[in-house]
Amino acid sequence: MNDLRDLLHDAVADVEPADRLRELRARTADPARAAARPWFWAAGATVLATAAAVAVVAILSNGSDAPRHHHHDMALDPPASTQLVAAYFIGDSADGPRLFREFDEVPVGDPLQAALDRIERPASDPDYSTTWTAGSFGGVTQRDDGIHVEVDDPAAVLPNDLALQQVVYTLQAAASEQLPVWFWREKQRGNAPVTAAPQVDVLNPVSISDPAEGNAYSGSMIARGRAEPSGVLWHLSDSAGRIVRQGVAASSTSGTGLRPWKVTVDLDGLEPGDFTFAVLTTDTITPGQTTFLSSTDTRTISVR
Amino acid sequence: MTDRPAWTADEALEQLYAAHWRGLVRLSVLLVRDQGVAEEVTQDAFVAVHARWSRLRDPDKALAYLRQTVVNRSRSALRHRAVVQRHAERRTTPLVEAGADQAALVGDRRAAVLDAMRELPQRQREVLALRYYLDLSEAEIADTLGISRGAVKSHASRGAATLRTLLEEEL
Repeated sequence: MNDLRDLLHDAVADVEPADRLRELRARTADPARAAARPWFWAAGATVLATAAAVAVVAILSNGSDAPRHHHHDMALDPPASTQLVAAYFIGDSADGPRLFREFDEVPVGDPLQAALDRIERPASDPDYSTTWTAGSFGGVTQRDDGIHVEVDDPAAVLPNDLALQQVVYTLQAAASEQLPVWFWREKQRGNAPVTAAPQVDVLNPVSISDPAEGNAYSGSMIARGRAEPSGVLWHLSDSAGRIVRQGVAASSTSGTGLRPWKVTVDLDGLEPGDFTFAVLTTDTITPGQTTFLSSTDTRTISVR
Repeated sequence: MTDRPAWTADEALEQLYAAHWRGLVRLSVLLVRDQGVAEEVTQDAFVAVHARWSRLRDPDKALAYLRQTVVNRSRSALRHRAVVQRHAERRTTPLVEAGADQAALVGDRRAAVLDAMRELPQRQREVLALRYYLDLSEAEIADTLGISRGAVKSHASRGAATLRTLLEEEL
């Protein structure tokens, strides 16, 4: 009988980690992506090429609401039947409507089609919307000269630029490549492909990739996203609107355009319940002034 | 040699996960105290072992690598958390009045052990967790931490002495 051995075993005997096998499968699905720390951009790599790698962290805590036991003789889960897509939706920002990215789990299938299907349905976050409706898109194929997508609904007037950019950003993320997108209507191809507009013109200056809306946590939460190089202010507020945690997260110093940020939020001591996690851009803050215009993104999470 | 067919990286991941996920998360909890951080750290370690599988190719080597990665990343997570906490506003919460029932006593004891572990210097904490929780030999601990067996011995004896003093009431 060893006293310290017993004490150390006992100290963690009630720790039942959430089942993360599915998330691990997603993170290791492509060996080229698996080696990289998901929240760092490789210098010079495009944002969109890494979108899928970042996607895997978005579900780190999904499905972890209830602890599940794993024993050595457990039967392994059946192969994953879902995949993650990065889908862009439209939301309000200080600069007007902008694209916000969500990571959503959808049934396994062609990534391009799955991504289009996703933006035909409402966003998970009630703050976001989509201009596309069920049946808006026909087939989608990737060819040498880019991605070709049919817009099915004959009544649809080609929507405003941001809605087109929503499709372009979503498809490029699904293809992991910044390919031009050709829109087809009634078997007529557009005169020219649409390419991605600069991020500063169409993306919200700050976004949260992780947590996903509605995730549950205990102990701590790792949040990640993208922001302008100046970094973000973040805070966590309870259902009464009181700020219970706050801080600053620096953006990565390398890369171009919007850059990754990451913060670990300590949840110890919080009463179980719903909280709002918010990030704000810092670049518009003037010292000494109490009000400022700022871009923001929020998620509702629960602490258990 | 073994006649077991070689695992692919995906198969290795599933097997190692089934056998060691919970134990390694618990190991990390002993080092960082926080289950959320421990799960993140351990998950990253599994991703890393999957990426290296072509070089490891052996479940024992893979397990050694997993252990080492969990310990190293737990150490980094603690450093990172220290930085975060300097920025974060800390809210002090009143202690919940715990009833003196058996569950509360067990909870107190567990908290006391984890608190005591946090008070130890990092190396002593790592050596004790590997020795008393994972039951590793001195040589295995030395390999995991990249230190000499003599250093393992000295960290183990100092750490154990401190821990026994801190946990006098529990022993």
